[in-house]
Amino acid sequence: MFGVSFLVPAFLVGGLAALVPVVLHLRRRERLPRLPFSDVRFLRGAPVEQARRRRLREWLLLALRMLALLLLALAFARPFLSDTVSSSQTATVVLVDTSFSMSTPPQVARARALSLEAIETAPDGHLVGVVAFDEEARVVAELGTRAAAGAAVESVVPGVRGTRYATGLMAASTLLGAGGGRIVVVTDLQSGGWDAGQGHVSPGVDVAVSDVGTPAGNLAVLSIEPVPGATVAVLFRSGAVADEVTAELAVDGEVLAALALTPALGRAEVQFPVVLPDAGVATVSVTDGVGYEVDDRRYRLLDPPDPALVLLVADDDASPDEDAVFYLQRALAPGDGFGSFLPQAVRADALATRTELNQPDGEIGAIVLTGLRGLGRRGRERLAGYVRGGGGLLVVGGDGLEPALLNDLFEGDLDLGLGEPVTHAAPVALVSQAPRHPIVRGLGSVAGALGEARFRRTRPLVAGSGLVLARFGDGGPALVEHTVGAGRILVFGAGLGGEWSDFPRRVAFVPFLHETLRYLTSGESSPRASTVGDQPADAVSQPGVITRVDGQRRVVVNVDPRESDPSALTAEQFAAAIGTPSQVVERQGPDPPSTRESGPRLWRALLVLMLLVLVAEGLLARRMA
Amino acid sequence: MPNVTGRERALLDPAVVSRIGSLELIARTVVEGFFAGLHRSPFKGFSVEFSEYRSYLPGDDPSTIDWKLYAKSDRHYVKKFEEETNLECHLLLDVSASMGYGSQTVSKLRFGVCLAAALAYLMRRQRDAVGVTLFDDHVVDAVPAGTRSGQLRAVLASLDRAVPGARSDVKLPLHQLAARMNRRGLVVLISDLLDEPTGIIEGLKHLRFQGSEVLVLQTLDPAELTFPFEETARFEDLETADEVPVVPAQVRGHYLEQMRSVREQYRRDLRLAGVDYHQLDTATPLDTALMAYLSTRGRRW
Repeated sequence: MFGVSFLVPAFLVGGLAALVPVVLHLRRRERLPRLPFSDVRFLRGAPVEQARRRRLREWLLLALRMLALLLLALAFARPFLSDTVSSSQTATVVLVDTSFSMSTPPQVARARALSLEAIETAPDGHLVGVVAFDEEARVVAELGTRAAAGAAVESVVPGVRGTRYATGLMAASTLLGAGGGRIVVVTDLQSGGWDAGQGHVSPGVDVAVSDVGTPAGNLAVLSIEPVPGATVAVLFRSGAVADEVTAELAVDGEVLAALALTPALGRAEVQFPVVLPDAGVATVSVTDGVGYEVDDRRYRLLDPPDPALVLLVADDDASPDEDAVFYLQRALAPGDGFGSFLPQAVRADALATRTELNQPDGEIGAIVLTGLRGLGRRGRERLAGYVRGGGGLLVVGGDGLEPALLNDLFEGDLDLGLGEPVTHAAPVALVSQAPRHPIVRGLGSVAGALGEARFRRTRPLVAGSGLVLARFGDGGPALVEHTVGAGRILVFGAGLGGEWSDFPRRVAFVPFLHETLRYLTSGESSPRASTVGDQPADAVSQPGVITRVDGQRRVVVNVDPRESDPSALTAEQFAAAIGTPSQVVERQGPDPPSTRESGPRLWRALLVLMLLVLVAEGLLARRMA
Repeated sequence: MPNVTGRERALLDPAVVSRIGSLELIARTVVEGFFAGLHRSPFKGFSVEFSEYRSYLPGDDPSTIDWKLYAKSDRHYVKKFEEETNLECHLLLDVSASMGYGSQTVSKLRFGVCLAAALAYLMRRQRDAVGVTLFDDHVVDAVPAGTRSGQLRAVLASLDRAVPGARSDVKLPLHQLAARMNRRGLVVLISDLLDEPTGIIEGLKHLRFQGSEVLVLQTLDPAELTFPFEETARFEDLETADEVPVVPAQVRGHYLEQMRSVREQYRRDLRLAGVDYHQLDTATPLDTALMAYLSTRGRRW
């Protein structure tokens, strides 16, 4: 079904011009002279048919003139067909909050009752639809009969996700279409629902709120953190819960500790005298009896993280940076099967055959480039494609790098600004910059130890548009970050071999390298924990442990801790968070006119019709003259 | 037709006559002017009877001898009696609002008043009993027919008070008069007859059934007969105040046809009913009406 909307509805005001012929008609009628006559019987009744016919023609003429003006106004208003049912009629959408903060039994019952009430009390003639929302919105019942909407409400049950009012309102407004209407939000008014942003509805949409209410209290487990010699669980309590609750710590289902406690309001830590093992899934659970059940348990994955594959690329022949590769391997993999990285030395010409490079989110976590010779065209393309696609690249400015080949890597899109080596008479130190950068911040107090390193040779670096993270003692950039496409490139202005510096033998070298590569692989490492909302809607239905596609790595899934706080807004505060119609238009980014009017050009048809009406009017007027 | 001179004709012109202030003077002027032109009329001497005495001659009806005079003078005189009329004339004048219409100097009502006055004067001159009834949708004023000395003045005073009234309902006074009349007489109806013809004709038939002679003088304005209007206007009914926007060129033909049809209906149906019907317009000299009256009277009495 289609409805008609207008691109420039202000021109509809011009439709009032249709009244002009009526006014003229009435005014002209008023000016007719009055003539007393003895008996108008024969005048009124005399040429009956002719008078009626003439009166009919006059009305027809008036109607044609009004119609012509109306058509003109309509044409200027640029009508277009919208593809929603509601665009041509008023409708009501019941927007039901199905976040887990709506999951207590009294809330479920009240939400259902309020939803049915909203359906039944919808204005006469309204089509009624139902949309359920948490972090995502789902149309449960398209605009239709009340019976269908009521039946759909019966199937709406709260889930385990958080609240996103903006998402729900957007979906409900979309369902209403350009015709506007009414949205009744059935919710607990949880304040955290606006965290993701302000809500917006289309112009002409009224929003009403049916408050389901909040539970008397709630106790949730927010996190599990290992501390030396113990394990700490962070709890959050709101409202009234049982005077004494029991908190249990279990690993892989085996209860290791249980504590009876009286949780304080707000955040509170509970310390279990248990050291967590190196593998398994730890669980802390509480029972509050009144609040949300789904946040009474939290999971933590204890399995060691999977090491990220780091390709150490050197020249195809006897590499002058052989020492660099050695240091890199030792720094990244200090022992067999231990560490966060899995370094793999490869020759530059071998990149041409590494098809994994075509998958930046695949196995390769990052690439360290110490030499380029032997990297053919195909290898360069794959390496550049890997970086552009989101891969991480550390360029070590040792002897194996030729600046011309390096700059050719990205075909002029990016000049890494690496110059020819310079030997310093007096070795220069390394000084960190950008203390808020993840690499420098990750170094912590070790950042100061960078200054212990002495560099006898360096390569001059031009930062250009890049970000300088560290400098040499002479002031020249030492570590510069560039971005190309979705990838990151870090350029280090010196080699890592012994002839360049003593940096590899300094205490700061390993942390520096780890933080640098952790930064480069951060977008690559598989998540070990996530919230329900981060998972595809059809992948996870409940919090717990899931095994990823590879069948080995496990991920724990918890509920969004923000949802555990039942603090509620007032209806006024809720309404205030909804954008005004003008904001809505801007924020939602209305479709450009050409898109919205992509259907039949109705205004042309209206103009043609108006011309036809004017022709008919002319013929009729001529006949009556 | 009376053979009248230019001066006499002027005295019969309604426009001239209506400017005379006194209704009695109007009546006298009209009637005398009318009779001045009757010297070659076949109506010469009609109804002019004088009582006189003459000596008895052989052959006279002895019953005509005035014995009282014989007792006084001891001579035989034959008494020539005044003719004792038994004709009762009733003037019915329509004073409804529509009679107030006049496209020229004389409205239909003013014309009717002058005409009625002249007829009353003429009737009294003929020693007829005369009365008048003014009506619209009811009887507004009435002077019963009589022959007393102040009768003419009473009739003229009643006519002088005539003003346009409400809607006309002609049949009502006709039936009332028919019920009231106990002698055969002459009824003269002066009206524009812009009412339902059926009711009017029924009322006139009622009078005829009572034995009265009826003379209908339909008085219309020339504009009602020719509809000379050109400009589009809202025609306002004088009786109902209804307004009808009219384009004269569009309705003239049909209007005239309707008027002709109604008049023809009156003419036909009234002739069948034995009623004399004459149509006058306010530009018509009054002698036409007087002639019609005398014609009717002379035919029956």
